[in-house]
Amino acid sequence: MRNRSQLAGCLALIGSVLAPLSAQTKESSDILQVIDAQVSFLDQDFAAEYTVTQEKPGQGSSVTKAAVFRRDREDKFLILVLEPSADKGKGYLKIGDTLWIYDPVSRRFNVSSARNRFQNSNARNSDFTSSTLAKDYRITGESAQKLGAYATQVYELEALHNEVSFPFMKIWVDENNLVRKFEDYSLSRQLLRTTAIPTYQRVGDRFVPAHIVIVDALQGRTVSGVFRNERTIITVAKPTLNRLADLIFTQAYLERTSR
Amino acid sequence: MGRALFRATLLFLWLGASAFGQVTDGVDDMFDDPNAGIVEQPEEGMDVDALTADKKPRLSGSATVGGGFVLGMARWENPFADPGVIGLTPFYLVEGGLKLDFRPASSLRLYGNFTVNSPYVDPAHPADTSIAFSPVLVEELFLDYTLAESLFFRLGKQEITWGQGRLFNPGNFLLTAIDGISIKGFLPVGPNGLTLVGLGEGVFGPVAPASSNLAELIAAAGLFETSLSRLTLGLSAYYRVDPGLRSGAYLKTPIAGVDVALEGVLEWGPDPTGLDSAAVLASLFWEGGRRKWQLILEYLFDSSVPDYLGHSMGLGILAGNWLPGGWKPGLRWVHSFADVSGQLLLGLEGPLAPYLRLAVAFPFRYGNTPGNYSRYLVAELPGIEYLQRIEDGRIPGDPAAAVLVMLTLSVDF
Repeated sequence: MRNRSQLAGCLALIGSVLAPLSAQTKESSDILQVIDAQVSFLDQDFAAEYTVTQEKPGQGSSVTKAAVFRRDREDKFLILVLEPSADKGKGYLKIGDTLWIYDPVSRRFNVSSARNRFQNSNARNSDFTSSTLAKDYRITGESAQKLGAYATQVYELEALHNEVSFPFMKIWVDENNLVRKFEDYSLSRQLLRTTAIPTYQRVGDRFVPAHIVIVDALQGRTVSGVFRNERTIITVAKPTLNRLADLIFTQAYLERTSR
Repeated sequence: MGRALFRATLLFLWLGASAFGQVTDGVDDMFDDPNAGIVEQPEEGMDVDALTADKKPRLSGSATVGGGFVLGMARWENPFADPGVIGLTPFYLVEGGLKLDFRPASSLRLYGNFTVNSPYVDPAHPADTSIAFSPVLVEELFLDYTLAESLFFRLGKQEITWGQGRLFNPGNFLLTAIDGISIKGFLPVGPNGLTLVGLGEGVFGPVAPASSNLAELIAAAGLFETSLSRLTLGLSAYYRVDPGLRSGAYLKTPIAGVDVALEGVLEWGPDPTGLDSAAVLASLFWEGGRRKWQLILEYLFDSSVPDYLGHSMGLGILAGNWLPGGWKPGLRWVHSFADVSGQLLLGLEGPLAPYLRLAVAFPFRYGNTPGNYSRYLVAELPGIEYLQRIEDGRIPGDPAAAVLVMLTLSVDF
């Protein structure tokens, strides 16, 4: 009898410790879900033209143009490279947790990781998927901060699993629940890259970045005595929410479109 | 309009300033205008159909003239003592190709790839001199048709590659599809889909088909692929009167950035009640690095080699286009443990001047010819396939070791 009451006491103690923790986790998830929802299209398909300009100090710049298709409700996306001509027809197809890269020369599909760089730029393949902050991260810190003209809430995030591109992040969220700035950190908390989204475009009742600027904190070169970081500028044009054919999210579509 | 102009000006000024080294990470400066944060959706959305339609037929092609020499050694033993063991053979090549790509509607596409080359040996008269031009060879000629935006068909002479191997590919049941006429249909089912192929095999191949009976030339094949989380699964089958039924299954998943595949193939023969042979392939493929590399490591077990000795391995290393001057090296090594035979192919190719390229290759062979590794060996290694083509076609006398040097002048249009 005494043992039982001791056990009940222990359980009550554990419960009292875990309850606020669980509430915090739920609150954290709720906040991130609201942020995700602003840029996700769960009831519609999404397509747009992305122009990715990669600047390497002292080495000039390169431009990749791609068509991006998303079906967020089924966790699918397809990226079809349109330019440069050397990479035309190359494609990325993500279905669930699997990402394939299609090589039109060998006509083969290689399995890749969302963490890998997109076309050797500072963008990751995961930058083109729908936002899944609530699924991938939990909030560990929060503060209010001014970002230029914007009053933002800054959240410090920690990854919930190791399938994400970055284990730690800091995000600046404006009053519309749009992320204006990201800082991505390594496991040792070293800053890896900074992403700015100065402009969003309204698409239906959701939002899509119009310009994204990614500054690589580690890669760069000293030019004329000044260290200059590598940067990637992504411009999103011609967004549409029209329904897309099921065939678009298949390997056969990449085979069909490649030249 | 004014806002968009202001926003673009800000972005331009920020990028311009950073280009002069005044800003390294001043992204916060981009948020100074509170009115530039949200803009309305542009009226014009992306025309998805335009990606797969083009009213104008596209013609492209290439012309190549080249030559070189092969310094070959017929065998390893006493190469300098025996006369004729070492030989120098010059060669030339002239190749022309034309490709047609016509997409009159988003659901329709016609594609053709035609080539002419010299030297050419007519399979019907192999003793004739090879200093001649081939007739116009139809490499590929097919029609794509999409029905109701969900069923995709490709009909005609086409290359189809199945199987997970890059060095050994026992699962490539449709290797000879390119020598025939085939109908390939794809239906999205589940996360991936179902591919069905019906083909008349060997109709245009280098060797005349063994039978003129149409039923014996027709083959049927199917491939079902699906995904479970990070795992891709595939089931395939192939049937023709001779060689009979083949079936295969594979699992594939990325582990720590490495593409890992395990594939099993069963050959049932004309009588499907008993198993003729089986093959198992384990494949690792990695592509990455800031300077792009491709690494391939494969193990093959082939039960058709007696006493369970059919173990082979293969290694492939390819560099991306990052070496100074555009040089691209590659290596392929395949080895059979059963008869201690193998091939090592080292190659390097790069530009010497505009349109002018130099290729140097070192093919080495040891042990039996053909070795036990050769049954499922892939003819070409992506990236250095030109070396394999040269080795197949122009190295005389099947030397044990050779140095090949080739200079080509090539133009694409």
